[in-house]
Amino acid sequence: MAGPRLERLNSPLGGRKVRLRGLRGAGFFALGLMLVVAAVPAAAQVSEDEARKTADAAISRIRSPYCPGLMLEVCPSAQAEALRDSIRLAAAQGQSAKGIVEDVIARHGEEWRAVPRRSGAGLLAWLILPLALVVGGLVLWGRIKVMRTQGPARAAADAPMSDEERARLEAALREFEHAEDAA
Amino acid sequence: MTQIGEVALWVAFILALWGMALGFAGGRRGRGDWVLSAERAVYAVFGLLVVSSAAIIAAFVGNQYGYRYVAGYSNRELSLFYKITGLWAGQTGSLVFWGLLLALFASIAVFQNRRRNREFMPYVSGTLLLVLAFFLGVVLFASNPFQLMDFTPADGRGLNPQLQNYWMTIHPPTLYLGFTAFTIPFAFAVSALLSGRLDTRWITTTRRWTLLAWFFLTNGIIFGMMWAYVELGWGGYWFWDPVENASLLPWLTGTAFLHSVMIQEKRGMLKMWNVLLILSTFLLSIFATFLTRSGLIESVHSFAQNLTISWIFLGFLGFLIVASAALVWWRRDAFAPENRLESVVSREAAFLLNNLVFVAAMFTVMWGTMFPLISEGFTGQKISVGPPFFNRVNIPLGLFLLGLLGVGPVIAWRKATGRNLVRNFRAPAGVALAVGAVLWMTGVRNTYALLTFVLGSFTMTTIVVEFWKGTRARARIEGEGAFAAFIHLMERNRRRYGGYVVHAGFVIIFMGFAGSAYDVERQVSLRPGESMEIASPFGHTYRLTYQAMSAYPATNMTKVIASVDVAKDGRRIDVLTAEKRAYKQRDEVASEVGIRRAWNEDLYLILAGIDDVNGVIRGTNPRPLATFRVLVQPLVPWIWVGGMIMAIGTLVALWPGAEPTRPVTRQRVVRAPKVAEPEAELVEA
Amino acid sequence: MTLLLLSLLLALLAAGYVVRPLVDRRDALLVDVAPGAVLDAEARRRVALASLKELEYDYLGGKLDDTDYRAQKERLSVEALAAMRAAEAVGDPAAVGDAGREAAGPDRHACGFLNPPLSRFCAGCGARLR
Repeated sequence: MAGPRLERLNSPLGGRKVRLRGLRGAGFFALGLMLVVAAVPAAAQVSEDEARKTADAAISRIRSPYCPGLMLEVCPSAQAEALRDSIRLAAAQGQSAKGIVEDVIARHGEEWRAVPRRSGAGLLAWLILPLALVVGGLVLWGRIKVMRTQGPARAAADAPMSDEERARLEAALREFEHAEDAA
Repeated sequence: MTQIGEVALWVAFILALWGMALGFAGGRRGRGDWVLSAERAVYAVFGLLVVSSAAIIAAFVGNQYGYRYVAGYSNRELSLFYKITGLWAGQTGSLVFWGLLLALFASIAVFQNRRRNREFMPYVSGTLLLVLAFFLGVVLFASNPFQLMDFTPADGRGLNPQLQNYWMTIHPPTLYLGFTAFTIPFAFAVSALLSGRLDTRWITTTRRWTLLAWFFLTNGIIFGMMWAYVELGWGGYWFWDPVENASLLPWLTGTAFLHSVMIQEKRGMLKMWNVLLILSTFLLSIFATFLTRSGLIESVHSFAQNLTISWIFLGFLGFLIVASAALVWWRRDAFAPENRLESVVSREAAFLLNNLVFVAAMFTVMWGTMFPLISEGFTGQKISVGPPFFNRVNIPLGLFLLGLLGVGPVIAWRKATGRNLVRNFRAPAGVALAVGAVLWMTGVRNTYALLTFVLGSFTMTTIVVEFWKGTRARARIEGEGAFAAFIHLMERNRRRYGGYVVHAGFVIIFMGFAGSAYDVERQVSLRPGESMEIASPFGHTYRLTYQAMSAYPATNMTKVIASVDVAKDGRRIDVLTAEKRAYKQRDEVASEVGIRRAWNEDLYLILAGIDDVNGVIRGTNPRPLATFRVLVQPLVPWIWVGGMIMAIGTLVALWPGAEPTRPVTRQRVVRAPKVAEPEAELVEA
Repeated sequence: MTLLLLSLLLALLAAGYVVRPLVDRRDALLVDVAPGAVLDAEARRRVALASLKELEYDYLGGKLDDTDYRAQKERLSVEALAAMRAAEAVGDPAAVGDAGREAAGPDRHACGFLNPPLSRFCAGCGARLR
């Protein structure tokens, strides 16, 4: 029953395939950070609360290299936990959220950046919505102008309706209401 | 014997091509016999696809692991239920399933219109058979479910554990029902273009189909969210995954279409725009099927990595785009509006604004989804955009829409009176401000959450007022009692009031989304007997006590289950279990979360890790250290409630009786002297 | 062998069903029983009446003031009346006239079945019409 396969139960991955490349990378990264931490004097440390905020901010800007499609904040894999820990360490060292993100991205690759940069190719991603709205708005504005003038204008009634006509209309309306669905 | 299914596919493919050719040619040349043959081809293809699907299911149930598809998605220990749903568990089968659903809808549409809309039907049959022939071609030439392997393994690989879930078995079919149902209005639009009959007829005829497609698509998306929530096991329901986005794209244009057709029905305007919207909705449905099944973009849904299929799909999409564009261009003079836009303060203008938002959202989501590919193509560097990006760009759009939802229904058609508009907004605005003030005082400071509730309550109030005023007006005009007036009002204007109910559901869903601003999360490692506490944003505190860990062997897996006692403010209320499951065949581990649902929030328990799991299974370690992730997710239950309300509202709008029950032809039109029985039948049909 | 026979049977059945109309020269209806003009006029009548009804509700719901309401009501009434007249004119066989009916009206066959205009065959009994 309890084959060696079940060892995998220890790994808290939700049934996801793991990339070994990433595993090793995270390990080295964590190791490197720990070495840095050991070397830096404690004076550089920032308040715990602030560090946690910085770490959270950084973590929420990175997609997990270990769970396809998931953010680092929610990735259940062990390597992701290691990466999160290393980010918390870095934050405790006083690094800025931006700096941490750039660090991680530099190590793991541009594809794990969740929030595109506001420069270079990343800017293209941000531009689409304003662009779509501006272009769409202009098109709509143009169309509305056309729609206001194009097509037959309905002139007001030339001659007032006769009483008989009014009665007919009333009857038709009543029949319409009761015999047919207006939908 | 199972091989008969493959024969059926081939026959269906040939008949679809035959019927497609005869349908288009018969329509052009006015040959009734060709058209009849084409319509029979639709029925025949459906019958053959039933045979083929039955054969696939039989192969699953009969454990015929010589078939690559069966071996890949089943094993002997899989329960009968999942063997039957194996039909749509993988790419090849799901393409057959797509065809089956489309053929079913096509047959219904052809049958419904055997005596109506006859000018359209040759091209409708032709278009439907074209799409069917495409899917059958893909199945036969690129992804054959009846492909045999060189040998017959003793057992299959089993089904992906994450797909062994109730929601997952109904989520894909519901989405497919939505995608395929949009093919019917699409086919009618194409035939309207081909026959040149671009008035409102194709829209009124397919109104019910559009609503049906929208109903399935909406529910499919919500089922997918439920699946993600209970099965992916990290506490989220939407994560802007490429495949989720892909299903959202046709939803966005389809929703825009639902609204803008009303302008054409009532005012004879926007004819070309409506054609373009339904064409894009269908194209995006094909695109979504393609994204799901090609694995072109990395996602949690990446089920398939088949580049041949990608190219075939892209080719078909390209062909459809060029052909539709050419058709629209060819008929460009036939779209002349029948009326002018009388005022920018009118329902028409509000719908136009709604269309702008939906289409802009569609472009944004599409752009974000394709961005990794686009950026790689242009810069050589794969730049990805994640959920935070999508949230940042779409939340403002969503909020704008939420406000528009409250403004639109209050504006009259043609030309609303500005002064009255302001007066009508007083009460909703007052309610909204009051809600905002109360929330502010109770400590809600998150801008988006606050805005959602303010705009949501504004919209909710206008909806309620609309119902109330409608009832009052009806009571006055018809002299009915309040209750009777209310019921009759709904009955007589199902689409309108059903639509309002859908709006209400939408508002509630948005409020549920806003709750995520106040999610609370804690991760702790505990020994049996130890406790942890987590505070809810509603003020109370949950205390979770890890009781025990136990292991159970089940038919195709081993379950390790942690049971946790839950107490709320010191009172014991529940026992939650969270599991890890090791599946034998696929060598995979999955999590099963424990969720305690209350009316206002979910307590979500994840078993994140276990120390010494072998000890637990052998029974040598009864007290293992376990790591739990616990989340309190406010208002999540309201997302599902809102979804249900949306479904109910759509059904109200959709239910038979919403459209003319009497034939459009009035009886005396065809009642010539000495009428015998057959005409009566014709007229009633 | 059984597979081969069954496949053959399936293919023949399906193909036979689909190809049969060509052999028998059986036609599907190509045009609606009611001419398109009737349908269009009827649809217009409905839309006009529905708009008038909706206007009434909008006014009572306070979305329009008196001036706008009266102006729109007058105009919509005229439109609705015109649509009603058009629907009657086009729908009334007497008003169309014999010549018009010959050209676009439905064809009655001797068997009593009312065929769509310009049918080549009777959909009731299959006899050739023209």
